[in-house]
Amino acid sequence: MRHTATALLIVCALLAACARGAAAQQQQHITLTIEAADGAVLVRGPQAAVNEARAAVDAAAAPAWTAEQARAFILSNFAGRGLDALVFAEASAQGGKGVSRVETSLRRALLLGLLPPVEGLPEDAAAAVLDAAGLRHITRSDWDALSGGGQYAAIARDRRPLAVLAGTDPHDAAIIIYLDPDAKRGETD
Amino acid sequence: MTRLAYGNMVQRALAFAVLAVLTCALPAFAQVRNITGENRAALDQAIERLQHTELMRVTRGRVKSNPVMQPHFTIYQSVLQNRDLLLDRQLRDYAAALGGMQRASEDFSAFSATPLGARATDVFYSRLVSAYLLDEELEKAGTLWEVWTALQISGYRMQALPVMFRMALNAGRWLDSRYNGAPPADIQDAFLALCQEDVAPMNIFDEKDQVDALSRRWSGFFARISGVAPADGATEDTQ
Repeated sequence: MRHTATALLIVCALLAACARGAAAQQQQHITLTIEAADGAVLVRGPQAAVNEARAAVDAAAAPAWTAEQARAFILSNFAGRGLDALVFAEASAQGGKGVSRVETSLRRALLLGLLPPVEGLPEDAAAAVLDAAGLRHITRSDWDALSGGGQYAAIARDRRPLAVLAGTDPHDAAIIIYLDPDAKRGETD
Repeated sequence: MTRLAYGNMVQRALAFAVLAVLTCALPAFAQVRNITGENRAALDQAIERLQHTELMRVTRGRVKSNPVMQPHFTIYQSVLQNRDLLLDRQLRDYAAALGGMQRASEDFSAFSATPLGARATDVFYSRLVSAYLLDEELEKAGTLWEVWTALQISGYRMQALPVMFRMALNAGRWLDSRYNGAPPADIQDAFLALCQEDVAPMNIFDEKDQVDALSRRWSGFFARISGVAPADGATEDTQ
């Protein structure tokens, strides 16, 4: 009798663990790119909702839509499901796989040709040099203050490389983030 | 004709051909400077010229088997006894600098291939040769301390060159993209003037300070062409 009860308890615990795992998987956030006629929409949210959104857009013949139309469709049909949709203004599908990121020190970034010379400059002068070089930039503190979605939006805004600088000392950290315009449709989590 | 005789004839013909090729190539070889040899001769000459007076100084005027220790005595010993090691270390610094500069050229190959990039590359290779060549400094040296100093400065200059070369190529690469491959003449002149700025560090800390200062001057240059004047000379360090 006692053995039967123990076995039942173990079976119940296993079932509960499996159910929790399945729920966690359902809640796992992924990022997916949906192609449209003039660009792409990056959808981020719980895996199940994102997959449903993709199926719905595919069923509604999305390639004929503009990216803005596809985004509006997703946001109106999946309101309250925790989805975040961003429109890429240029190029075609762009998923998280197209994002490459170099994290190094400022001096090393200069020696590798990733940034123009900004060592030792005050913040406004460094910003002017980076602007003139066609690089978008943000300070490390502002970057850390952004949410995950905010960081993604900052990266995806106009597809130019983004420099995240902690300062202009040679040993200050520098992150340079690139979006590959030729990246193919991809899924990331 | 036996096989042996035939073989001898072939050998002679080959030897003649090699000699002919070497004779033709000799003027070309003769024009190549053996800077390591020149440095060795200059160092030997300087040591020959200075060692008696300098040794008399470090031994308080007397030649003793167990000389009195003076400041920098080990440097005197080093210069007198380890000249091969010193020249070998200098040659290794030269080889390392040459390799580092070639890697930099490859990393910035797009800019190096432009006329401005080629001029900057020429400037840095001339600077490398001038840093390696010691004969003038050694001829001017009045003491063994100055001989030692000249060797040290030459080594540190060569160690700093690949980093400075990369800084210049990086600046050129961004100038090139900013002006669509055709920077104005005055900007090019200012760029080449900064390429020619030399450093003469005495030790590794000095080298770091001077390279940092040069990096800030490049930043100041970019701030100016971006329309921002560097504040109160913060980027215009003097060495």
